[in-house]
Amino acid sequence: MNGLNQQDLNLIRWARQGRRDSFSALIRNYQTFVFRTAYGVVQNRADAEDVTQETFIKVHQSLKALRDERTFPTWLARITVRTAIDWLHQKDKQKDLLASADPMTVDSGHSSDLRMDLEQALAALSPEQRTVLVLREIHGFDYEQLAQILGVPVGTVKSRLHNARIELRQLLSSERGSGW
Amino acid sequence: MVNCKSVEEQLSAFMDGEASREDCEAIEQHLQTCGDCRRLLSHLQGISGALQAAYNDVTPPVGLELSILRAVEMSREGVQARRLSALYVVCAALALLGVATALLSPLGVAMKAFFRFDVSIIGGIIHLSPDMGSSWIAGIAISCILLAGFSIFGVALALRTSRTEGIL
Repeated sequence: MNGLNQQDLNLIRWARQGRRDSFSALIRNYQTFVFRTAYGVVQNRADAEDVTQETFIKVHQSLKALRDERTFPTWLARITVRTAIDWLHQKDKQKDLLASADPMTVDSGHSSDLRMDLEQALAALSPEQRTVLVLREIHGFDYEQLAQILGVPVGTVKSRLHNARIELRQLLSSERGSGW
Repeated sequence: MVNCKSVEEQLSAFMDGEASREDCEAIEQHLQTCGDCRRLLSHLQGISGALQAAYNDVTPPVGLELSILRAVEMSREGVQARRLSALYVVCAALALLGVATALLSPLGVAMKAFFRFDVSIIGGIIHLSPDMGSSWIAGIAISCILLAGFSIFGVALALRTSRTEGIL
């Protein structure tokens, strides 16, 4: 997610100029990124789908305001995160998140149990902690980029990420035993 | 002096390659002698791997791209409709303001007199019709047909000229 190739840069430039085929290609290339980020925050597939739609509507409306095409990934991540957190606040989903969390995949056996535990532990974290974890672990943004996306100092990113990992470990330890 | 607490606080950044060179060296030295911190690092790395594996399977549903495109299109139409409505309201307000200003100004008074004059002329023509028979109606109809003919000829000529310029 950290590197943009020339094709992506051209697509963003053409989409900014109003070319619909380029915007469609951007959706095709970035829908998984947006969906995974949204899912990481809202922990529910149906909500993640709605957040993904809303994110791309915002992207379409404000793409012309993007000054530098090379900042597109962090810009897109910032819009996705804000939309997802606003979504949680609006719908007041946080209260019953544990009840409404969807399984990531349908699987069986040990890995499925681990995923179930992981989902429950993630759902118990705050949306801010989940956000920083997803952006770092899944998309590999560095601390400077995370600070830009979240609008906080690098020091805050560092401590938030560390606290999220330690809390996740404690939650998994209580669910899975001392092996975690 | 490096202890477990200070290492634990830096372990996340160390794992991500975001710790300073000095911190890295101190942490590496501490890890060689401290089993608890080595275990913690191993757990954090394990959680990182488990998260990555779990999210690799999180994929958008089939057809999401199409529904996003539809939603974007609907939003675009909505924005255009709102802009058009705003434009109509502004134009209507300006027109009302213009009419009100014109009616209250000296020009408006002159226009009112001119309007009354026009109404009197039209009324006079209508009352003239029984005395003059139907010849005046035929005269007006022939004039209109001639005027329309000239207009169509003029438009056709203008179109042909512009088409020729376009080809050139």
